This record gives sequence, structure tokens and C-alpha cells, in this order.
Amino acid sequence: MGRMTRHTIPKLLVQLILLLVASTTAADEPTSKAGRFVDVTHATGLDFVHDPGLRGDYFVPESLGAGGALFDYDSDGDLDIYLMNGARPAAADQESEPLRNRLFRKDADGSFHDVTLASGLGDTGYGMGVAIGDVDQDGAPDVYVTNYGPDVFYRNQGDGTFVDVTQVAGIDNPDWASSAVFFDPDLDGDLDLYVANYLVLDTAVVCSDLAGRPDYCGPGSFQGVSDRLFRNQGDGTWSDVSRSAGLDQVKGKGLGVVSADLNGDHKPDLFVANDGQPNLLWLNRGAAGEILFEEQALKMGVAVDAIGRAEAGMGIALGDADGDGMVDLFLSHLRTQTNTLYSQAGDIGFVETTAAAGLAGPSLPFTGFGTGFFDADNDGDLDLAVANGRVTRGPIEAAAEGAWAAYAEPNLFFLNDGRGHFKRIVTEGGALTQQVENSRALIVGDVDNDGHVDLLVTQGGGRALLLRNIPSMRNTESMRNTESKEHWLGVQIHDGARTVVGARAWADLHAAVSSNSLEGPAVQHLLRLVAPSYSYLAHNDSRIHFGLAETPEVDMLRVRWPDGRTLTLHDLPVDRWLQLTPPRDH
Amino acid sequence: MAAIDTSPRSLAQSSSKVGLTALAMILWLVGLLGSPTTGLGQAPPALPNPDLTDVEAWVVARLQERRSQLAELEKESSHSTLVVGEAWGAYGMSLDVHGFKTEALQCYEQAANLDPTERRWPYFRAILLAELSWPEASEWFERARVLAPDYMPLNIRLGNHLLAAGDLAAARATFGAASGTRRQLATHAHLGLARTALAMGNPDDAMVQVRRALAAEPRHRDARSLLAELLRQLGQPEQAEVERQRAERTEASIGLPDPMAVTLFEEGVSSFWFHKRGRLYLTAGDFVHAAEEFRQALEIAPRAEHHAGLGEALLRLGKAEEAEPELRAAIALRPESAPTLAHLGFALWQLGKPEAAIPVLEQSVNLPQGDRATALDVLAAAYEASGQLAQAAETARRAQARAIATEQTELARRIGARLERCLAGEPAGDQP
Repeated sequence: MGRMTRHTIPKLLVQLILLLVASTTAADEPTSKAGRFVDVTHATGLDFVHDPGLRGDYFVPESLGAGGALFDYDSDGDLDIYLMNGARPAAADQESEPLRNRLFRKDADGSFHDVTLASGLGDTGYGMGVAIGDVDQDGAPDVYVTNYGPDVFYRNQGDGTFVDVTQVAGIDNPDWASSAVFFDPDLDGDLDLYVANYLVLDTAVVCSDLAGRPDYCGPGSFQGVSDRLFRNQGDGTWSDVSRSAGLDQVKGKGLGVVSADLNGDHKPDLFVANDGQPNLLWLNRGAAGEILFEEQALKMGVAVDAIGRAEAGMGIALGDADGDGMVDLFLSHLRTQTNTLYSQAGDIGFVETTAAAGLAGPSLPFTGFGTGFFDADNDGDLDLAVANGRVTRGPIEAAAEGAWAAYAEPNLFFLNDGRGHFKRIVTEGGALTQQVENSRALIVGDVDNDGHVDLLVTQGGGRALLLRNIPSMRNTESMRNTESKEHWLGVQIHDGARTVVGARAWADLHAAVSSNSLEGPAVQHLLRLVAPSYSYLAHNDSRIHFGLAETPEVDMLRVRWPDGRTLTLHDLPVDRWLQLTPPRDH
Repeated sequence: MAAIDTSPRSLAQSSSKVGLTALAMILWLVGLLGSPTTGLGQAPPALPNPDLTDVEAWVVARLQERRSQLAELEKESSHSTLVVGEAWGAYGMSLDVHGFKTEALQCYEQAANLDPTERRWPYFRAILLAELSWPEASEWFERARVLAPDYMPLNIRLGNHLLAAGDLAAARATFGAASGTRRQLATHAHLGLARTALAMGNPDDAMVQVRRALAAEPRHRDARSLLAELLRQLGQPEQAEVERQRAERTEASIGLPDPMAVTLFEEGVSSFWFHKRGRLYLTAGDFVHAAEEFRQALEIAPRAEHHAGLGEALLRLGKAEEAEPELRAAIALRPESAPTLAHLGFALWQLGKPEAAIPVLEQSVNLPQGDRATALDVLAAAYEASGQLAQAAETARRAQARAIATEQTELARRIGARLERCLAGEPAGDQP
């Protein structure tokens, strides 16, 4: 090319082009944030802004926090909201009110009211995550709070108040805890507790970005630490059985944890997502009444990605993503790594199917935290959402604003085609996908009990968002194949007064429930689990939800309790919540 | 012209048929005027001006220099588009390596428009777009491929982008085009083909490809790991475990040889980049240049990792006396770094101070990441030199076991000789 001069086109022509493009863009702009998930935070009175208590020295816990829970603390039949908060730096004004975790009670009119002080759940530690479980089997869910610093264990007194029983219980976790799960590994009927610990933080370590600006350190700068397992002695006290259970030999950097039977032996196993280290799959090897685990993640194919790289494991989703009757695992990861789907494949364990499922590319630019499988459009398959937000500074997205703008990213929402292939939904995800925030926990539950699963999304240093799933908003392009009906069935599985963690339910339907599928089977078996501790730093709705599309009744519903008892029901009506207890005769 | 938004949403929004038709007519009119749209006749985009708060001084200076050069050229309409394009590209590279990705994308696009013959600008833009998982990455890779049809690293990167995007057929074709090249690239192409075959549900084909990847480069850790995973999936858990352990023993991943991308990394002037280049020189055995890079990193930010890097480079240059203070400075800032303690112990040993070396080395090998054959061998030698033969023998045994486990055959043989001497009560006091 020779020495051509530039700036030769008349300005008028350029302006005409710009004007035309601008008018075209304006005409196609979606109206407000229309879509399935509608932000009802303000309308319901939920008023919580996470405060990480910024110290100014890029204190790593500031970049990770903001867990939460959906649970019915007052047993009135609807889900209340509990949210973790940070803590003020030690040097802060001692006169100022301490930062607290907050509990919001849902009232009959659908609004939320702050009952923190009255409930006694306002812990002032540096809050991370929360696990919920009825450990004393009195029908009132108890609460374990993980902190950077000492954790706190609250017993629910059944009258809307909680009491700190950490010392009485003898639970002592001195490490930096992240996610935790109540489960019953010894199948003795009471819940024990697994606490995932993150790392040993050295505040003297200084990290910087590519331009040399100080920024939050990643996990590679610190040593890992062992997780803890506490056994419920049944008398209000707990013992640390980490060593005897075989767990103390491994030092990981745990951020997410789930419990479910992952090898088909009807005993609850544990899966831990580690940040920058191989994940852990603790297979339950204990005999009846015994707690013993063996780490088998590599052999089962869930430790690393297909080319052997340990990824930055954050949150975990758990469910039968491909409808083959086996439980799959989905992990959220750091940007430039894909999120990872491990599909269960029988005797060999799991195989990575991320790219084939359509989940690889969309996740590359984002850092995922909270995540969950749930049937968003009630078509019978499990859809997927991922809450995103950076841990180090990045380019500011167009819609991002506020102090954390350099860390904000859009969330991801995928619809399942009924065969385990996912399609990313952007505009039609509504507030879930259109708001750009520094998201952390994604908490799944039917908050308004209307059979359409809602979401609670927490933000690091931002407002917790309650996103209502409104089916009337779904008649949009990518969802056009769904008909006007989104039938559903909700099931709460009890044993006496308490919800049973570890139970499974199968619904058999004669119609092909997923109308997106071109060729559905004559009978479809939907598997759902009672495993409410998943995602990231979160406790989700402990009830089971089946989306049924147009199916007007459930041909057969089978429930299996963890102790082997089963219940089978036929020809169930739909669009309602059921409470199921096990048969008396075993 | 305003900055061009190439996001999927923006493109979707501008898909109105009426708008496109009218726009096409105007662009055609532009064509009739004889001025290509690649920069000619359009007002130049505003020069990106990122927020430089807290950015290191050298980076600020470099970015300001690049921006000023560009601004000067932009003022003069008489300059060649090639010259101006080069300035846009250079500014883009500087923005890119220092993390200002959005601004870099704008620069690369303008550079590519001004100089459509230069392959770097579409290639760098494509790499960034692929990192952001934008579908336009493929288009820009293709644009670069037209300019550099024989540049095979491009095919590997494009293949990886297509694989992540789930376009498996295109990924297979793209990797396939690079599979017949020299072995450093062929190993990446075959690994890509193996991963694509696995994603297509064909583990047998994946096995063929991964074996080809390893035939081209047996030290390719990612390929070895994938072989282990394939064996596991094919129901051969024992062989899978053997391959997995072999992969773990491989020191590092085989990077993609990409000379164009190297020119990008050379633009970095933050302490991060000096340190990174120092580490690369260390790995390549160029200790003189490694020491220079770490010194420059220290000039910007006196951090533990830079002192440790400089100490290691000096040690490998045989300058233990100069290495010692650097390593001590690193340990003062980060007391529990096993490799740094091991290097300090080795420096003290080289300086003829085995008694001083022993506690430092003991601390190193007792840390979680310190149980390495070389550090244990130095400790055994220090014990031997100080006459503590029982400890020397015990440590040599431990070192030998680690060396064997990590397939360091020659080291294991030398340690064996030390062990025999110590057991025979005949210390030699040789160098580890």
C-alpha cells in the first residue's frame, strides 16, 4: 500500500452511517429487563447489601464472601432468607455498629422482614457460608455458619429464636471455612457435619495484576488445609472424627462441597471442589454405624479436567443433567478455564462432557461461583444457572457500575434440550442474565410456592437479589416450543418431623415431558435428590421439584429414604406440594 | 467513527433488514468513491485512555509513550497508513500485555484496518476475542490465516477456540491441518484432535491421536494425562494409573511454540512481566538474562519472589556469594518457601559452610513442597561433610527413593554412591 491519505470521506456520510446504525440499534433494544427471572428484591422488601468491610490491602476474604440460605426457619411453610455478611476491620471505629449476618422472615403477604436481632442469628464474624440441618430432630432446622475465623453453630429453639451452642457442642474449626454440608454418612439417622476449609492465609503476601497494581491473591500463593468432619453424638455434643474417618491426610483448598451417593452403593459420599488443586471424591467405605472415607477422585474421573489440569473449583451443581438416571456433577471455574460437566457413566465413574454438552465456550470469559441444576421452565429436564464475578480486576463491562465494577460479570443461564445439551439464554433470562454484578452464591428455591423455581443471588459487596421465576414471561423466541402449561409437582420428604437429607425420588411419566425433544421416550423417569447443600457457600430449598410440562398427572412416584425404606404412589395429581413420610412397615 | 462494538448482542441488535440494506447501500457508495472502508476516509477512533491509577510507573511511562507516538502520527494526515497502523498495533500490544484488554481490542482493529497486510493485528485480536469466547474470534483468526497461511500456531489456537465453542467438525479440520507439521506443533495438533474425538464420543479415535501426540513429544504432560484418562474410560485403570504417575513426574507442560505471541510478551514492562521472563530464561538455561530480568523486577517492586529468582539465577551462574543475600532477603519476606530455602542451603554449601546449610535445608525438606530429591541430596552432602554420617546415610536413602520415584536415574545413581560411602564410613565431601 502506498502513501494514501486518510480522512477523505465527507463527514456528512459518516454521520449518516452512524445515525442509521444508532436508529436500528434503538429499535431492537429489549424493553427493560424482560425475561423469565424478574427482580423482585425491592418489591418484596428484601434489603441486604453485603459489606465485606474493605481494609484497603486486598484482604482475600473480601473477594470470596457472600453466602446465604433459603430455609424455613419458623416452620410456617415458606422459605425465609439468611445472608452472610463481612466484618469491619479491627482498626475500624469501635463505636460503629458491627456488621452482622441477617435473617429475613417471609410473611403471608410475600414480603420479607428483618428479624435478625430477635432471632439471635446475627453473627458478627467474617461470614462466608452456611449449612442448615435439623441435627436434634425436633423439626426445627439448625444453622452452621462458616467464617474466616471461628465458625458458629446455632440451635433452633423452635420458637423463632436461635442460641449459639458452638462451645457446648464442642465443634471447633480454627481454619478458614467455606462451604459445609449436613449429611448422614453412618446412616444412624442423625446428621453429621462436613466443613470444607479453604487455605492458610498469609496477609504478608502481596499480589499484583499484569500492570503491577495491587490486587487479590489467588490460591497459588498459600498452603492448603484439611477439611473437618464432626460426628453428631446424639446428645448435643459433637466429636471431630476427621482423622479416624481418613480425611486428615489431604490438604486441599475447598470452596464447594456436596453430599450424595455417587457410586451407587446407597451410602452418602462427599465431593469437594478445590481451588487450583485436584478435587476430592470421598467415597463412603464405612460399615453400618461407622464413618470411614477413601479418596477416589482421580480413579472416578472427577479430580481434574480431561488433560489432567487441576482447575479453580468454586461451586458445584448436582443432578441428573442428561436424564440417564445417574447423578452428574457440574463445577464452576475461573475465567480462561471452562466450567466442567462430569457425567456419571456407570462403573468407570464419570467422564467430562463439557464441550459436547455446550457448556464450554460460554463459560470461558467468566469466573463462576454459585451454580445449580433446576427445572426453570418446568419441561422435565434440569436447566442450569451460574453466578459469575471476578476475583481479580478486569475490563469493566458495559452495564457494570459501582465500587466492584472491575469485578462484575453477567451470570449464565442455560436451557436443557432434554438430552443433556444446553443452550445459553441471554436476553430471555431477564434480570438473572442482564444484570452485571459481582455475583457469588446462587441459591435455588420456590420462594413463592407457585411451582416455578426462583433464585436468590448474592453479590460480593453488593445487594442480594431475589429473582422470581415468572412463566408468563417465557413465550419468547428460544422458549417458543414450550406450550402455555408448565405443570409441576413438589415433594417434601420427611421422617417424623424433619426433612430427610439423602432421600431420592423418581417420577415416571408416560408423555414425553420435554417438548423441546424431537423424540422422547414413551416413559420418562425423572430423578431428583434431597441434597440442599450445593452451589457455593449456600443452602438451597430442601424440597424436591419436578417440572412436568403438559403432563396432567404423574403415573408413578417412588421415594427412597436413606435407610432403604421406599414408598410408591400412583396417578398423582399435579401442580401442588406433597408432604411424604415413610411407610410404617419396612 | 465511534469505537466499534462487536459483541454478539450488538450484532444481533443491528440485524434489522431495513437497516442492513440501507447500510449496505451506503457502504457500496463508499466503495464507489474508491476508498476502502479499512480506515480510509473515516474519522479515527478516539485513542484509548485507560485508567492508570495505581499502575506501576514503568507501565505508565510505556503506555504514555506509545499513546503519544500514536497521537503525533494521527495529527498528521500525510503519514502512511502502514506507519499509523503500526503505531496503533504497538499501542494495542502494550495495552494487551498490561491487562487493558478492551482498549487493546480497539487498537488491534484499527491497526488491522489501516494495514490489512500485517498479520499480527488480526491474530492478536483473534486471541483476545477467543479468550472472551466471542464468536468473532473465528472470523479474525481466518483473516490472519489469509495473511499467514503457513503459520500453524494459529491453527492450534483456532482449533482450541472451535472446540470450546462446540464446533467439533470445524475443530477437527483445523487441528488436522496442523498435524503434519514439525513435531513441537504436531504434538499440540494431535492433542487437539484427541480432545475433539473425545468430545465427539469417540475414545478409540482419541486414543490413536493422543498416542501420535506423545510420539511427537513424549514429555507432553497434557497428552500423557489425556492418555491416562482415556485408559480409565476404556476400563484399564491400572495402566491409567501408570500413565497418570508418569504425567505427574513430567516437570512442566509443553508450551505452544508461537513466535508471534512471544513478541507480544516482550512488550511487558511491569514487575510481573520481568519476573515471568526471568522464570522463562531460567527454564531455558539462560541464567545471565534471567538475572537481568529479575534485577529489573526488583527495581520496580522489591518482592520476595523477585529476590528468590535473582538468587537462583546467580546460584546457577556459580555466584553463590552474590546469591546468598538475595535468597536471605527473599526468606525474610516469605519465610516458608521450600525452594528458596533449598537454594540458600545449596549456596551455603557451595560457600563451604555445611553447618550453616544443614538447618536451612532441614527446614526446606520438612515443608510440604520441600520433599525433593535434589534438596535431600544437598542435605545428605552437608551431613556427610560435617561428619554426621548416620544422618547423611538416612537422608541419602530418602533422596534416592525420591529420585527413583521421579525417574531421575542419574541423580539416583550419584546418591547411591554417596550412600555407599556413608555406610562404609568413607566421606568424600564431594559436591552434590
